[in-house]
Amino acid sequence: MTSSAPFRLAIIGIGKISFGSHIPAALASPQIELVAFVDPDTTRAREIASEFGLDIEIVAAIAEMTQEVDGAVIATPNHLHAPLAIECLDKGINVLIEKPLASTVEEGLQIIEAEKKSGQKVSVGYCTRYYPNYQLFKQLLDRNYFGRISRFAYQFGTPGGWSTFSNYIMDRENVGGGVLVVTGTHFLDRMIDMFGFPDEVRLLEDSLGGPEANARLLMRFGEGPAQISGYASFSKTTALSPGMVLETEKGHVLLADNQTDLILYPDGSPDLAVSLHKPDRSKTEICQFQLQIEDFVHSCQQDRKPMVSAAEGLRSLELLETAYRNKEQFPENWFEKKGAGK
Amino acid sequence: MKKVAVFGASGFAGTAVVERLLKNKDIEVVAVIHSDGNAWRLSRRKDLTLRQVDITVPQQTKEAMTGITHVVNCTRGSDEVMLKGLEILLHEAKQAGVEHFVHISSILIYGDRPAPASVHDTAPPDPQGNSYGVLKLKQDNMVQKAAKNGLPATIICPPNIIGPYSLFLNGLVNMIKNDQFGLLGDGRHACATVDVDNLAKAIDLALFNAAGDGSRYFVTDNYDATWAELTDYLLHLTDKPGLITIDQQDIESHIKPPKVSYNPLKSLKHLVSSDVREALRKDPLLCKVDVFFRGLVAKLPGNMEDRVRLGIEGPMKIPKVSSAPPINWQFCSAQMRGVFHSCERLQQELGYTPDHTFTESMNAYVNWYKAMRGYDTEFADLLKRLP
Repeated sequence: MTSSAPFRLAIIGIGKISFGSHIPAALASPQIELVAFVDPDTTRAREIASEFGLDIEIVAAIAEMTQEVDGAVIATPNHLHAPLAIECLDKGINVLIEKPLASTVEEGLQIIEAEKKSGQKVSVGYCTRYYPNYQLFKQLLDRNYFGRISRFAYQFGTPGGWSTFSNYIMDRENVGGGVLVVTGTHFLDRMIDMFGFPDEVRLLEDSLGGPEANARLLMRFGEGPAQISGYASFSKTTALSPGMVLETEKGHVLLADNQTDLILYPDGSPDLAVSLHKPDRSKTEICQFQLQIEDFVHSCQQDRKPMVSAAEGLRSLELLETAYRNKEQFPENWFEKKGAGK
Repeated sequence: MKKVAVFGASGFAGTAVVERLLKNKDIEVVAVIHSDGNAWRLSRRKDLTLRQVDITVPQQTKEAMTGITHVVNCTRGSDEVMLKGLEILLHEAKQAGVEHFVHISSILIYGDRPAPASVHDTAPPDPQGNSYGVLKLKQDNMVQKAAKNGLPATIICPPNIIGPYSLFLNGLVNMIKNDQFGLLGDGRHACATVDVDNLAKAIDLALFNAAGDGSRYFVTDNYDATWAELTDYLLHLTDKPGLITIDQQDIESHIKPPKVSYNPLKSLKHLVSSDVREALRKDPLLCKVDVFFRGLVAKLPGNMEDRVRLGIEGPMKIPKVSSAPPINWQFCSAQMRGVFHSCERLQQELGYTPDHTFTESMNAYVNWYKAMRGYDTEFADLLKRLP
């Protein structure tokens, strides 16, 4: 594959995330030529193609695709990621898989096996890695700019959220969990990228047999003086301002989601807030889905590791499985704690 | 077996109704939702099937009514959903032979300054131009008409709904945090409330005990709470040392509707203003026309170009920049309602007693708020730093 030729891309699964993010990102990218949509609901796929003025091949299954493609975005319900990714890889097609990598660690391992066998690239759609202030924070963290980090707390919550076309999100089996998978896994990926895999994980969640709507993780990384204690909360019922606060040797650091800047509140100076950002803010204006798809294309063309590899995607899956294995019921006895309110 | 369909089941009130009815093993509950995005609280239950229906589509609504004996309408949405949707719901419920239809109204049918007589639910409603109140009253009239035409129906009319997950309380906490709320005077003005579980209980009672003659019942916590009492619970959830105080004159001066005047000359000037021309210049042909006319004006003698511009745009306007708190005056004006609504008729006719007191409900909300935000953990100090 030469880097000057357009990268021929198919999108598999024409649901809300493809409509709202992957298709616009692919169309905005100068290197990409969108050549096919694959979705069992070809009528809806055709309607969406015409929304974007696209005259491309629309088929119900990968096997029906006649177009030569270099890569495919897989944006289907989670339980379909593995079979579709393996089918693509076996056909010599590189894949960018929407997060999470698969529904289970076992399926994730099958994808990695197929990746090795085919020699193709697998990238995982953890697009929040491209948040400008996260990239800056990671760079500073790697240089030990903040000194020792002792604690962090993260939260992300919305009262409800976007609706899927297929309602698959309401089925725990299809999703592989609840809000921890749908929302939380983005942070888990970044968290592993920052601090590695936690040594201890405790999950409190409110599932009553279906996908949980609220999940709280309590974690420990390392031990002794280097120990980091972590908290992460995800909600589909309550608005929680998305972001992370870290307790560091230099002071508290506020890393609000998807901002250009991060804020350092130096210890001992309560009236001071230091804003840190990369020298050129204009470079942060491209949406993270476009950055993600372009990274995928470049990793295929330059035969290099993508931003989030299948192996990294597998780590997030392992953490999800560990957390669900250690889950406890989130107490909802609001009326029982009498007098505790005020 | 009774089969109850709760339309608008994923909303705050709808979820409480579903959760209450599920505890009664003699009832089969059908939770009807518009979309899955907001249904997370319900979908975490394995014992409940969600049914997705657009109530503005008659066929979908008709199918959803199959086998249903009782209906609760908790839907909200656009005017189309509220009016056309309700019309379809009422029609299909009657066609399906539904035994009882319960509809949720709002005390806003008595407007922003309810008459003293509106203590009682027998008082004639008057929304006084409050747009939501006007819409809710139209709905009440439709339900009462349906009751007259043979669909047993009851209307339950709540004030501010409180308790865990309360949207009203969430909004108020945010306003206190952001200096958008001011307490009127000493805060002794009436703040009518009902805990969401108490509301669900009233709906449950109405479904199976009411006459179904289209009567409207107030439901409250049967406690005369004041704004000072209510906000005292919420202030502790913020880092504010105290509430901003305002007076009636402040509110009245801020909520006067702006005068709308129609001035053809002003409209014409707006058409040739730089804002409009800038948008038009995005079209290459219109851009050329604009360049041509600007060229003509530039050739005019003296300072004519400046005078033309001043004539069209008017003098520069520098807006006043105030450091005063950004009070939400419209919301704050609710403190001037001044009426405690009585749930006496609901008590006498349907045997209603609140399950939770105002104090219990507010404490539960505070417990919920703290738990959802991790304020009950060792990470509270970090989490409170998030905006």
